[in-house]
Amino acid sequence: MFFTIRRTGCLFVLPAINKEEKNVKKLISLALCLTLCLALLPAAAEGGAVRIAFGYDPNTLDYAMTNLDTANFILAHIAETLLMQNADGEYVPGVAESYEKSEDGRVWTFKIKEGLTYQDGQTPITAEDLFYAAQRLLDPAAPKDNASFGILNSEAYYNGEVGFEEVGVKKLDEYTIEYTFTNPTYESNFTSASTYAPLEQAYVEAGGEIYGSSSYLPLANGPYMVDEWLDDASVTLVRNPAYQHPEAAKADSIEITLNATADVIVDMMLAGGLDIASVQNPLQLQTLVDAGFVKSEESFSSTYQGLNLRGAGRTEETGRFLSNANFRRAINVALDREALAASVMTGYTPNWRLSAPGEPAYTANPDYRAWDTTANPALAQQYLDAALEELGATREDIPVLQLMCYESQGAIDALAAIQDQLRVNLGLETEIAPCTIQVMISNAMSGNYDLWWGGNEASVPDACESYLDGFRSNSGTPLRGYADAEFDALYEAAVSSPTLDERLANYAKLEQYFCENAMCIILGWDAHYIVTAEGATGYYLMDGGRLNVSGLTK
Amino acid sequence: MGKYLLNKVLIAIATVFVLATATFFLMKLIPGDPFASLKTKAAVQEKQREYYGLDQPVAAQYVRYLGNLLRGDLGWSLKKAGRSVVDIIREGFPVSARLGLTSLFFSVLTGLLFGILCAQFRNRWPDYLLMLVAVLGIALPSMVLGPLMRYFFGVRLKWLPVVGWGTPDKMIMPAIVLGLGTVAGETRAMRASMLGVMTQDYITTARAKGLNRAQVVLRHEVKNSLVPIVTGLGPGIAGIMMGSFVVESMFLIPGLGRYFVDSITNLDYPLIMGLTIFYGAFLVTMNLLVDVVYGLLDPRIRESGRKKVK
Repeated sequence: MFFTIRRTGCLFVLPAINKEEKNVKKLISLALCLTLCLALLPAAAEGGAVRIAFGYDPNTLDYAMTNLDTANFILAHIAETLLMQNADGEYVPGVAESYEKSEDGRVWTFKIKEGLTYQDGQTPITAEDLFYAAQRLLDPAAPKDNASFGILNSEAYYNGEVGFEEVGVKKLDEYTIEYTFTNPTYESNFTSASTYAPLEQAYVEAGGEIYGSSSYLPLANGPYMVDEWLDDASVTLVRNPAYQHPEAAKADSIEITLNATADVIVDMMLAGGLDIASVQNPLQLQTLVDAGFVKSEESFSSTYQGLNLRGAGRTEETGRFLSNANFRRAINVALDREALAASVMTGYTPNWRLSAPGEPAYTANPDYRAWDTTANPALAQQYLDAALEELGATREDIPVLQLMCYESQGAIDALAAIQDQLRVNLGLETEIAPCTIQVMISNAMSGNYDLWWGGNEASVPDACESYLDGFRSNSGTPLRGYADAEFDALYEAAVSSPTLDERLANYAKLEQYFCENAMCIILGWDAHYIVTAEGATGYYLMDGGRLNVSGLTK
Repeated sequence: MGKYLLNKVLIAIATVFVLATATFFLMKLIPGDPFASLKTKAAVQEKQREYYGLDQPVAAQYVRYLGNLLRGDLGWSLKKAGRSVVDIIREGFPVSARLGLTSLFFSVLTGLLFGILCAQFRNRWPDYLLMLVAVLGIALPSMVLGPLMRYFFGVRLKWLPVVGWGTPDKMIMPAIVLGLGTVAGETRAMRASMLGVMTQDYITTARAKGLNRAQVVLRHEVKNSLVPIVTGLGPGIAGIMMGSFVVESMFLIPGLGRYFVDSITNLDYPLIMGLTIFYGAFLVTMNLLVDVVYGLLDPRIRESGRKKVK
């Protein structure tokens, strides 16, 4: 069994090898070679720069003022909030170490992690910083775009009726802060940087008017910090050395090109100038896929596109008809969403209800379908006949409805198609009224419209607070022009639900009522795809379609 | 010449004042509200109007604006929080001016050369060919030419960066796209002017003196054809240096061009005013310079100006 080799005094004793053992050895050698080859192949690499482009300059990085996608993307990487959303969609502790909530979901107490600092590695993050962030956001003397009034007594404070000590934000000790809300709230609320990311008062106040501009950048506490912001050109984020989880930032830097239109983004991708892009236009998407890029699954941002309908109408005459549910239903089913999406609404998916797939409210009630995505002229005529009977009117009495839009060719084309469908399927006459963006918004805010072509943003976990709020009788603006007690009651039940499950169940009833009464003519969900070079992984979408590329490797 | 210049400067100041006043009131006539937003609470919008003094009567706003203007304060942008109008102009103008001057250098040089050649080869194939090229420069809008060039030279051939700013190679495509319209204009103007000059008696005299063709063209025809060209350059320089919304947008150039459109769309009142006053003052200054250069090129104009002042 054994043989020996003699060599200058050394004795090697090797086992004798039979054929079977030889085969095993060969297999092992092959495996080793394969391993070596695989190791030599280019692997998904960490480090380097992630390059991305957006359509706008962020305008400001003041958390209290940001409202553009570019700024929201940057904030998702530089501002760590009390809670954060991870790649699995879960809400996990960010600045908070732990939290407790009351049974009714109105009082939330957060314990802040000790030892956290801003990007300088020295300035500590304490409850004071979160208290100041809330106080600053609600300061009526220096109004901030993102001021909202969910916190108890915040609106009264804003209107000068109570002092800030009455507002539901209390600093219990150096590392504990408590929020009290008017209605129950949920984890998703605490991922908003405008209120729940810490701000260092001395630093912010030293910046004064220019705080948050390119001349005086915010102090980051997230995985990245702003290295350079060239106005209207680029923003560069680099790793924040003081971040609590340094391993979370895979890329050395994130290079953001600003003011890039969709066609510029496609050209930059093709020329190798970008690593990741969000693409909506099907033709541009196909161009990139043909060139070898990889597209993600379809995802929906939080935008509902369609005809906003004012229940009270622009005039008494149009309001007489638009306030009738059957008249609105007639318009709703007379429109062919699939035809519109295939022609003048490219990038939108024809919808069959309000909540889009992926939204918590959709997932909680996935089988609901409020209408067909194609037109149903016969049903539309039935609804119209019913409306005319209820109103004691004839078809000749129906006034010409105004279709208001922004003066872009795309919007005018969309309305021209809608105009044709309403004429052919329902016999309704309309007139298109294009106007500048500010005039359009002013008209909308003052209720000076019948039907208005525009998008609406939803929120998490449902569309209540950002969108459906305006349909309440006491919403405070003439925007939607409804006075519907049943809707009000359903709305109140949804927003006062103590648990998220209850809220979503109540929301399902509200959504059903909203859709079946055609309170707004939603025509499509804003669909988009994330496109990357082959092999890029580690990015994910957070609530509201915000892209997070902290973990991107390519 | 001093009084002539002083007179021109006073007229220039009055022009800018009238421009500022007219713009202020016209701007207020634009319907809409800069703070109207579906994302911002109505109560917040109300406070913002108060904060920026937009709840005051228009006359009071005008008086306050003039007071600030005299102190050199053009105010703060309503949309770009934390940025003053002066900062926006100070950062954007050098970019637009650099691009504009590069483009102007290319277009004037090309236009003059084309114009001279067209005139020399009048009604022959070089004339037709160059005029065709020049007319194409006007006929092809930058929004068509720009993406085509970006695709071929940036994406396909990879000779030039697709977009961006900061290095000379990034300036080539935008400068050409921005300048092609001017090439066409300069070619036509130079051709017409030169054809006019070529029939003058002093050209015949120059030839009779025995000067060769090149000497006649360069010393007499070109120099005397330049007067109308220089006249058009003043407003042209001002316009091209202020930036172009289309070209800057398609090549991602952080210049002023974008703001001329965005400020109006957003009803960013301080920015509308600041840009208008800046552009107006710059235009008036360039016209003033042209008047001076014009006088240097043509003594008859200088003399007539002197007589007028007297």
